[in-house]
Parts: sequence; structure tokens; C-alpha cells
Amino acid sequence: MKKSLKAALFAGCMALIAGGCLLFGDRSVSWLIGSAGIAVCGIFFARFEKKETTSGEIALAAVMTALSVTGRIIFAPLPAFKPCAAVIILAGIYLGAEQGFLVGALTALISNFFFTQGIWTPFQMMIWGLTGLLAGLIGDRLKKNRLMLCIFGALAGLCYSVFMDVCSVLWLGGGFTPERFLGLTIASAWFTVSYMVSNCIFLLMFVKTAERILERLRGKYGITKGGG
Amino acid sequence: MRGFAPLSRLAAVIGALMVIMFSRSLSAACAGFIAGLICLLLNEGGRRAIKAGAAGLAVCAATAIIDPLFSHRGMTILLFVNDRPYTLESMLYGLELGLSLSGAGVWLTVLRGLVNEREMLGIFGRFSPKLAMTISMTLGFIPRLIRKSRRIREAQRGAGLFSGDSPSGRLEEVSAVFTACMAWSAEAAAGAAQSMNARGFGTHRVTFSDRRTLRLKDYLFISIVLLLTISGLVLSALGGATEFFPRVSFGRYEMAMAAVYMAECILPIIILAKERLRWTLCTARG
Repeated sequence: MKKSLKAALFAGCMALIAGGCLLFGDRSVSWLIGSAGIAVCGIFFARFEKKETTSGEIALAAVMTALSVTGRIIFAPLPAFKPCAAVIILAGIYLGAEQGFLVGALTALISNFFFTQGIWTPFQMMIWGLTGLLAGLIGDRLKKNRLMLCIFGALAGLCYSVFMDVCSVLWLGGGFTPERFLGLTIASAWFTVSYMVSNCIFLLMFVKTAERILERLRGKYGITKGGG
Repeated sequence: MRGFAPLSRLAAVIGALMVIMFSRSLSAACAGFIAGLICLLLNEGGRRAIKAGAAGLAVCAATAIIDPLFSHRGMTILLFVNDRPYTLESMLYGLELGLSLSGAGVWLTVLRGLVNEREMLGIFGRFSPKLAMTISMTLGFIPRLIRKSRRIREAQRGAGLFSGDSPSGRLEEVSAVFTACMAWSAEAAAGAAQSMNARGFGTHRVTFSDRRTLRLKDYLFISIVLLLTISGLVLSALGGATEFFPRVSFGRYEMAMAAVYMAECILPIIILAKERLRWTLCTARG
């Protein structure tokens, strides 16, 4: 794509976001966070589209996403106790930061086809994507230290819950109000704790298996980070 | 709306969603919620529509009751809660919020019935073929993984493993199944990668092919929806939004905006009703 066309596209998107903020009054914050979610995911997807990707990377991203979505479906009877975030973190650690983002964002998008798509989908895609990205960025440290991995999982669960609460407060209109946020946070405290605990448990449970399986893939087929 | 391309169906729902979520108008939120329920009724039957309607009304009741507890703006005081005013205006603001949120939920349910995930891939795959291929592969792996997990669980139970019904026993069982699925999915990924390489992946750019093309009626439909959505949003910004505080008053152009929005919502209703009627009256269906 030509540079001028890219610049025009970027300017058009910015104008659309700014126009929405001016038009929508007290709902402008909702528009802004929705746009931010779409923009962040869009940038990563555009990068993924453009860069050279091997068949192994694509196939692994697809199965890790499928595994994460299946985990959400299999564990559906246990509310807020799901292995999705753990699989996303493991994908980030063993497949790399960008693949981690891709697995996280696609998990939210595809699993919501089976549950419910909603106004929260872009925001959920962004949060899970960033979880995978961050796990990939500090992956080497997380691989070596189980305690740090556990803390990272718990923090990922906490951040997911808190950011979803922030998103809900903003979608309720009238801007951010501490009273509403506090009310929602207290109401969802059980879910937050459940996310944190489930992430720790699943990470500790699956990290060794994931390491063994992915090392074997590298040895036998030569696929994992950057391989064929 | 099967006679229209998936992009037209998506445009109809996105247009309705944009106005209901961002117009801040009580009349538009109400019209959008009802229109969404009618679309659901025509497309997926009465039971689904009643369920969605009941859930939506519960959300409306909750937001209408809860919002005045947090927002004390407004002149018409109904009662005092903890020495803080509980106002009619905040209650109506909460009702509008509930109507727009549940209306958005209803329209998203309509979208699920009108455009399936494969058709959605067809729409976005045009812009991002590699991503569409990844999503398509994922969608192919999910049922295989679910089937595999069921077979592994049955095999493990048949072998007498994990028979306990306690929560920890169930967690142990599901986790063992999930670990086995992880190993299987890694092998499946390796197989898929090798198949892709054998078919020449990486030797040329990934392209996208879709046999469905937009016809004149699709272009016309999308243009009308786009025009009505932009008109609705602009009218809302110019004074079509309901003023809730300090007293409730309808905006200067609120009725015009609601009329434009109703026209937008009626388009899919007419098309769905026509298709439903044609199907009901069709003598060839046996």
C-alpha cells in the first residue's frame, strides 16, 4: 500500500473517532473505548497480515486458539473458572509476543460466537490480546520462575476483571463515576478472585505439559517460534 | 434476509446498533428495542423473542431502579434513600440506558441469526485473507477438539479413572482431558503445517476467493442504511437526544430522528416478513 494511501486511511480513522467523540455527547467515552479496542486489534492484525508467516506459526496459532476456545466451552459449567487466560499466556511465552496477542484476540472473538457477541467484544479482544503480548515479552523470565508465572497469571486475572468493570462503567454512560465502579467491583469480586485463582491453577497445571509438547514439536517437526 | 448478501445483512444490524447505542434518545431506544424483538420473532420464532424480551425488560427494570441510587440529578424527587434524593429523571435516564443496552443485545442476537461465522469470514476475509485463513482453521479445529475431548473422557471413565463426583475430582478429570487435548492439538498443528507446506504455502501471497458478489439491490440497500444511520446520528447530535436533566424534555429534532431510525429498522422487518410470508404460503415445501 502506498504511503499516501496509508496516511489518508490513518487520518480518516482518526477523523471518524474524533467525529464520534464530538457527536455522541456523554456516550463519547464508550465510542472512544470501543474504537481503541478495534484500533489496537486492527494494528496487530494488519501487522500479522503483512509479515512473513510460516505455516507452522499459523497452524499453531489456530490450534492454540481452538484449545483456548474449547477450554471455555468445556469449563462452561464452572463460572469464571476457565483455562482461556492460561492458554493465552502459554501461547505468548512459547510462541512469541505477537502470536500471543493473536491467540488472545481471536479467543475472545471466536468464543463469543459460541456464547454471546456484545459491545464488550472489542475490549475483551484487546485485554486478552495484551495479556498474550505481555506474556510473550517477559516470556523468558516466566519460563524460569514458577512463582513469577503464578503472580503474572493472578495479575492477568485481576486486570481482566478490573478492566471489564471499567468498560462496563463507561458503557453505562455519564463518564467514569467512582461510586458505580466500586459497586461493580464489589459485585464482581467473586469473579475476580475466581479468575485469579483459576489462572494460577491452570498455569501451574499446564506449563510443564505445554513446554514438553512444544519442545517436541520443535525437535520433531521444527515448528514453534519462527520455525517452518 | 437470505436474498441479500451477508454484507447487506451486517450493514442493516450495525446501522441499527449504532443509532440505538449512541443517540441518547428515549424514543429511539424504545423503537430500536421493539424493532429488534420483531426481527428476532420473524427470524427465529416466538420463544426466542419472548426470552430476549423478558431478559431485556429485566435489564431495563434493573437500570431504572439502580441508576437513581448513584445519580442524584433531576428536579422531581420521588423519595429519599440514605438522605439522598431518588429522582424521576435519573430513573428515566436509567430506563433509556437499559433500553439501549438490551436493544443492542437483541440486535446482536438478530445478527447471530442473520450472519453466521462463515459468512462473517467471507466479509472480512476480503480485507485480511491470512487472518481469515487462521480463523477458518480455528473454526475447523474446535469441533474436532470437542469430539476428541469427549472420546478421551469416555475412555478414561471406561478405564475406571476419575469416577469421583466431588468438585476437586471433576476438576482433576477435566484437566486430565484438557492436557490430553493439548498434546493431540499440537500433533494436529504439525499435520496441518505439513499439509500447508505440501500445497505450496509460502510460495505465493495468500489470496481470497468468494463466489458471492454484491448485486445492485445490495448496493442500494447498503446506501440507504448508511444514509439513514448518518442522518439519525447527525440529527441526534443537532438536538435529537432526550434532555433528562434537570427535567425530562424531548429534543428539538427527536421526533424526526426517531422517524428516520424507525424507517431504518423497518427495512429488515419488511424483508424478513416478506420472506416468512413467502415460506408460509409456499405450497412446494410439502
